Amino acid sequence: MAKSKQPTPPSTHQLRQYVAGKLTPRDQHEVEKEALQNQQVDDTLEGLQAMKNAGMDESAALLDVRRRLQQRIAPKRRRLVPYYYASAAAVVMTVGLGWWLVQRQDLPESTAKTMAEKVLPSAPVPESTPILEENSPTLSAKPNTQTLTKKPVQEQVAAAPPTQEMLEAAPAESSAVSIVEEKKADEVAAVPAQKLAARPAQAKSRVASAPAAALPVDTFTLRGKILDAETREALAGSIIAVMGRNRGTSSANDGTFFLRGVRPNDNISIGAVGFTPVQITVKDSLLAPVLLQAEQNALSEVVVTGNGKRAQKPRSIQNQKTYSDYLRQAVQAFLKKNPQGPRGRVVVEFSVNELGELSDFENKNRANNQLFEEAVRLLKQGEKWTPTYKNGQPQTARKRQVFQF
Amino acid sequence: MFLKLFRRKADFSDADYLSEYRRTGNLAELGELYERHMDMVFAVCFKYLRDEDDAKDAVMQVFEQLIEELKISEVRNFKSWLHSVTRNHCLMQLRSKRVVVGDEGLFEHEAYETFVVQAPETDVTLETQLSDLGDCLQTLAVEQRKSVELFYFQQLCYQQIAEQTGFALTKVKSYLQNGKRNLKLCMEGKQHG
Repeated sequence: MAKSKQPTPPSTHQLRQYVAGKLTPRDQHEVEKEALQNQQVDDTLEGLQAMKNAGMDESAALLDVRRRLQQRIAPKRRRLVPYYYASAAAVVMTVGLGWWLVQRQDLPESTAKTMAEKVLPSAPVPESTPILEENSPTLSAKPNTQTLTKKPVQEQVAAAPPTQEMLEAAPAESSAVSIVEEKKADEVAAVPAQKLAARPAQAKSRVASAPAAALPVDTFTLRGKILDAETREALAGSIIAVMGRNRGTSSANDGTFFLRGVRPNDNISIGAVGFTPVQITVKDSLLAPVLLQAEQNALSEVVVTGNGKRAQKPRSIQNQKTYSDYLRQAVQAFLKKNPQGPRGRVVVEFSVNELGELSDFENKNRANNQLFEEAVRLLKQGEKWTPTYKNGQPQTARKRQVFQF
Repeated sequence: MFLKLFRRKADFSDADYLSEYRRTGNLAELGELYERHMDMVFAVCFKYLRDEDDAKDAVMQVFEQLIEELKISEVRNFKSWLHSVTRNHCLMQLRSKRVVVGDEGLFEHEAYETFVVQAPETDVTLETQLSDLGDCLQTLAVEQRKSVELFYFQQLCYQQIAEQTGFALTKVKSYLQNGKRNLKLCMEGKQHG
């Protein structure tokens, strides 16, 4: 190598010593001679000298550069970091899972305890319990266990004080009450003692006689499956609605459905296109498979009857998609025209009057004024809107539109 | 892995690092090699740029340059090659900034480098050269001649020369450089004419 052929050029360390004045005149001469012949040595030497003159901390600066160099090289090593994070996350999850499992193991014990407490007081009055079970599907096993498993802690808290109280006060009523109590665990938890202590008799009568009547908590989730009576095929998309109340759902692809908020003795209407609708009075939270008969004249004619305009929100005359397409294109055009312009989200609120005209624009999120004006312009320029109809009469209404510039 | 790193640090020469980098393209190899010479690079950058932060940036930019250039070019003496890369980078930077630092020095260096490059042509008969040298020495300005004599013949260092002659310490170096250049020109003139 070059080292053996020529006198070794002084190392940077030697040069540093030279600058620091730690070399003998003889060595100084060697360094200087080398510097006169070798530009690299000369430059380095001058650099070191300049740093010394500037009073700079060379080692600190070098440390900084070294750090930056390491960062530059890092991508190879950075791959290791996610492993660390991943393992850390795994540990955290394992611990969390373990904790959860332990909690769950505790659960059966606690429920067993409360069950035991319940069974004890009910023993002396055997008549009351069977009635309860017959009359109120709400109190059947299903929803009960659901609430139990979901809210074990509240359950314990809620169940414990009233049981004690009832044991002292009225052993005959306690069984009924305690079951009700269980049902309403979450709601009642806050004021279980007062309510129950004040009106234990009332609670009992309600549960026993008319479960469907007043208690809002007496609702449950109705489950079932809708099938074609002939083919036994599942009917997807059939409509399940509670008569007289604003509740409904539709069946899934496998014909099953869940309808929340159903009360015992509710009339449920079940229908599907092309099938004769069925009405069922609910007794239990689980419906037997509902068979729908295909309508004989299903395909012969379809009668469309209009009964005036329904109440509806104001909307554009075009269908929603065309209108939002129009807005999006307009926004794109605006952005293209003003590449340097501001960007952001604009929420515009405005009135749609009886004639479908837009007015009273409001910049709801205090967005950039230029954007807001553009948004208003686009709205005014766009299609006319249909007004709100209420009881068949057009009305003025407020409406919001969001723009993303 | 640690053993590997250890062995490398101890035994690898610049050339080993270079061939390893060219083979694998692994930035870590190049980084380790670069760290060895980073103090030199930094000092050189500081010499030209005269600013700590600029010098730091330059060190990193030179590294970026190495990443590309070392993939292609074969380098025999890495340190001196690295120096010229660094120097060129700094000069380019100064040029782009249009800030002239130490202009007097820069011009001298250009001339003096060509002298250095051509210096080892000592094949011509030593005799004539020595007599030429004696003649040429007489043509030099007094300060230059004195400096050259003291430095090369008596092997004193700048400090000592400055003390003996009363020249300013910083002047000694420039006397020497100019003296060397003039000597060279003079000798060349004698050889050709």
